Amino acid sequence: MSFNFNPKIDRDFIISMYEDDYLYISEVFTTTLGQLVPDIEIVKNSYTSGDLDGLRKQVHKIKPAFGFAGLRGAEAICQSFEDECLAATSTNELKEKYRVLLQTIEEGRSIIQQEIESLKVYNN
Amino acid sequence: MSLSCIIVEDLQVAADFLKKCCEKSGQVEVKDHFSNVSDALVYLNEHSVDLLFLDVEMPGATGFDLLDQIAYSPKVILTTSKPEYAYDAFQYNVSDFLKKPFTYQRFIESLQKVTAMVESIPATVNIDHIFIKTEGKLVRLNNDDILYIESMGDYVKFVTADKKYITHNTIKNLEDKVNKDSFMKVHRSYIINISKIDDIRENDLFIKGNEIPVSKAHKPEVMKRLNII
Repeated sequence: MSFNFNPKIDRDFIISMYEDDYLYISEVFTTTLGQLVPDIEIVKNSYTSGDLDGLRKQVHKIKPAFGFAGLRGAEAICQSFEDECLAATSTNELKEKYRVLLQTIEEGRSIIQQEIESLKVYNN
Repeated sequence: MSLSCIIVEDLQVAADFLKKCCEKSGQVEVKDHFSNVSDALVYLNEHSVDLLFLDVEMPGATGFDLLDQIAYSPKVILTTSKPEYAYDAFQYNVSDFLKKPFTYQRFIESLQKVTAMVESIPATVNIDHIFIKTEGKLVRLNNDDILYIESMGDYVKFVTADKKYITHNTIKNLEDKVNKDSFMKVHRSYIINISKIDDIRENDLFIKGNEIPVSKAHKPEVMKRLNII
């Protein structure tokens, strides 16, 4: 019986990356979550302090982390936000985009957390 | 063929996946992993590796800064999520570009490019000359006539005692092509003929009145190659 991923996770992509090694997939999610938690704080601090370049760099780092977890939609939103950062002159111009980004990141984190729990059960 | 490598990557999940790919391939031995350039430089100043898996944007210095500072030229596979770095990658003679996230299949393709390059590097030990393409013809330059080679962006300048030749190439690319017994890189922009050095003062060396900078990273290797009594 194959594992049912959250619909927001690109299952085909995950399988193309890790085949059906669900123990390793669980490791990938755990590592991603571990790094995501402090990285989100840096994103928030960069935005609050108006550090546009720092904000772009942090989103640039988070983007492939979502990719490795199969959250390709979140990865695309990060890419779009990174592009917006390059075009903007201040974080004030990104208010609405930032709201969407943060919502996406939080949702991604929550999905990854749920998948780790479900994979624990599946792998046992 | 077994290649030694280090991974310079600040995204842990990407570094872990690279390690797994290397292990699975059976062709690459991962010596270490660093999440920033300064730690990797400390390692690379003391150890030699065949291959670098190198991220570009990391905290502090970039992957390109690392390439500017290492004293030799391992093969490099860039691991980045930003394809815009392709032009810079070309300038640095990078072997391939893995866009994160990448599959194992893509990793293997990348590795095959590197092994093909390593296997195709001709032995330069006994070669006493090179041919360069300049002004629409191939010109033979004897190693002994070349004083130094200087980078000029997309071009390089071969300087001899009586003439300068400009050709489309990069210092990075030439490092593998010139006779390593006669020539060495002393700075990201200079390869010199060791036998032509007149004197060295602080961080510069002089060849027939030409002042050539020696980078901090290359200086220990330069001093090692001199016949100091």
